[in-house]
Amino acid sequence: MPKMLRSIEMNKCLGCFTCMNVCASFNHKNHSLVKSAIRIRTTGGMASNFICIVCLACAKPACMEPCPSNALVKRDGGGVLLTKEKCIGCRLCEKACIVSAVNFDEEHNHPIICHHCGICTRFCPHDCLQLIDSNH
Amino acid sequence: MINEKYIKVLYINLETEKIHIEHREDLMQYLGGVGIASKLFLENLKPDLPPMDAEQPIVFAIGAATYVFPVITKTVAMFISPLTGELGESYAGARLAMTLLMAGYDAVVITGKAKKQSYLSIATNNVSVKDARAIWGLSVTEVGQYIRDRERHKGQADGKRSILYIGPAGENGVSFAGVTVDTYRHFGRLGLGACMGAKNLKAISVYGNRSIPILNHKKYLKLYQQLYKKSTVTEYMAKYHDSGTPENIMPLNKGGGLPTRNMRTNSFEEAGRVCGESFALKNLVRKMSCTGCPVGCIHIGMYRREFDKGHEYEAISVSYDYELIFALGIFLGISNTDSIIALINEVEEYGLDAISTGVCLGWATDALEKGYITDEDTLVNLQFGKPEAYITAIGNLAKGVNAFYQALGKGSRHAASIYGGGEFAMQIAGNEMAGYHTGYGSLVGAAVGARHSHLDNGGYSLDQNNEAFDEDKYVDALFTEECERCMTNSLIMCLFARKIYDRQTIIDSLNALGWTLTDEDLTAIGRRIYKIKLEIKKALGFRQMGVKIPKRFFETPSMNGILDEDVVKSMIRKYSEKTEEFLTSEGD
Amino acid sequence: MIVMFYGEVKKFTNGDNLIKVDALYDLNSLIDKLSELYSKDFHKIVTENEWLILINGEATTTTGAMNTRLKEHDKIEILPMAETG
Repeated sequence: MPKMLRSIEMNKCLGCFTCMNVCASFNHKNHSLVKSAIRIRTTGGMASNFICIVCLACAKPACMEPCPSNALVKRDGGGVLLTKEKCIGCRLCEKACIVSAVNFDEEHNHPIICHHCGICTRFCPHDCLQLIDSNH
Repeated sequence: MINEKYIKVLYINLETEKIHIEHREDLMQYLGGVGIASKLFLENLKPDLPPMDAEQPIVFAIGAATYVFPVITKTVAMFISPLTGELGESYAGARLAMTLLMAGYDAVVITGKAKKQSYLSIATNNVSVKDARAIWGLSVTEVGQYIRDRERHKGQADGKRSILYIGPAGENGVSFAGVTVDTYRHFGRLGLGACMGAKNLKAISVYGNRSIPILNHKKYLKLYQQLYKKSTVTEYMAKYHDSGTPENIMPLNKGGGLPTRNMRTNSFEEAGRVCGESFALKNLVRKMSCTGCPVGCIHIGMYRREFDKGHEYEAISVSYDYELIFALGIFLGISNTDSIIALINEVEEYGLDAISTGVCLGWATDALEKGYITDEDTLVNLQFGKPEAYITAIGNLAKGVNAFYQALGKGSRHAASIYGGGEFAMQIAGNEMAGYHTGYGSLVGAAVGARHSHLDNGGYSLDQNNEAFDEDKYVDALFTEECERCMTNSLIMCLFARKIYDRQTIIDSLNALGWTLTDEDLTAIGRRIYKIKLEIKKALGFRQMGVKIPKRFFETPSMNGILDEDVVKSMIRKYSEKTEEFLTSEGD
Repeated sequence: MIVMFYGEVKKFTNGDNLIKVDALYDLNSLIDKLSELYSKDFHKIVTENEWLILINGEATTTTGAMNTRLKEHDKIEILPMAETG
């Protein structure tokens, strides 16, 4: 059963950024906040809630529609997979994502696509992030 | 800098608005954090000029392992303390260390006084001094809102930005004005807020969007996983997450080490009503972390305040920790959690140090009762256990509304020197006491600690370790721990993680980042840094033997009974001789 | 004498918060006794976990530490150490 990542209980989020930390270090071999497929932010200062901005595994991903070079293909379970060699760095996918979940790696000139690996879920101390069975 | 063999220093002159950047290879021997901060501070210090002179530096620095390993989260600030007149050193968590790392700076040295009211914006690719005239005078909450809105960095700031700011107390030069960082953490003690205010500096916003390649990928990931597990799954950190640091109240109260009502007594009959459990059950609404730490020790407590007739309520939320409950609760005889939150909130909004504020108000209450001051001085009837008067007094203190509050705003030692009552001004070397009256360890520790803090050398631990008291052993232990913390404060490890980061773990962590240090190297680094701190203190005129400890410390019993003043004097003398010898010794 | 346990200490005493024991010579012998009752290495557990021992409300660094002599009606309390915060 293919999985997809979901932020289930963000009211428990501590704002520790460990999820961002490990996505960048495990997946992108960098200490970074920008080279992470998952982003945590507040809705207005530290007194407000934390929200999680990450790929929602659309069955019909909007991000792949404007791609001129077929660098993005559908992923089993929702969302997309990126073939870096085909990417021209136009950033249209980034603009197209309805929830602004596509980050961009400016150093290597391609988008940072969440492939629902679940590494962030293993490092969330409060179980706010989970890999659940995909509904597609 | 991670992956580099130099420390990157950003120098900012607020008057000329000019900056320059240096790559300092010579600072590598100080590791990072307090090590590099001390050296940079000593270099830029002007001992012949007055403490609040525009030329004097403020130094911020991050550590050698900041953010990339769990619970390594702090930034250090070094400054001349307007409260003690000598070394000012303070630590804060929240997002600051991470954003400085991602902006690409190990240290920031700020000199000069801005020509007009300003705030500083430090970003990965830009540093600028910005107009703060409209936000000068605003409370801590209001300032945050405006700067967040202005420092959007093309709308992409969220998560990559940290803001520190002062409140009215810092602007007015209260000697123990603090600095708030990202709403819920602080550079609390010793008056950094006043130093910033004296430089016309309302706030600093830091934005960082760098990426740092990981050179030893496998090694790093393996170690990271182990440390993450240690921080979360094991028992080491559990209590910090559970009901947090307020758990201290129960053992301190039972043992008679809990300074109550200006330390008239050493336990509080109402401690059960304001212990960690009580706050958790009545007021706790949320737990948060500093970025880079999975523990979540920040406890947010809330109460509903009725601000007007007609059922007009607002929610007041603050972060609460043991020291705040001590200083603004137990020390003032207040036994209601809502009232303590209200007092913390007042202190927060004005940008004051919670500990010094509470202890100063404690002195004032005692002094009023004993007739050293009158209500013409205090303007309100300060009484232990009555929060309303204290709330007004906090505002009076922050605003310096009359001669008395201006004097009190320079600390309890200063106020007592004018009005009398020095015997019960519970400060050591000018810094108001923390919430431990455990024995010779805590008292001497505060007298000899570099910044007169219980965190310098953990003296309170010696008092509770079930081993026999021995003057020489304690003096040695305090000295050794002081050096050790100089080293761990170069990483900069949060002190709560002391048990996770033993020597071998520190060596392994630094090794994964490209350092090759041995156990001996770490010892040498700690000692090297401590020497610099002692030089700073000397340059600022500090004399260890000049520290006079108020009488009440020898009248109210500690957790280990009544303390003998001669023993304390003897220990301070021995420590002083030890540091004199140490300063002139070779090596390290 | 009465021995009372508080906070996380109770995790090592099967949840007991109080036991009565016959008068023992000193604190060392008390901890030996607790090793018999609960866990064979109570000494180590006390040191490693940084527990504070109070005798009639006072810490032991100035009363003889682990050699503190105990008397019939002493009240002994074992608590987690107060840490920083």
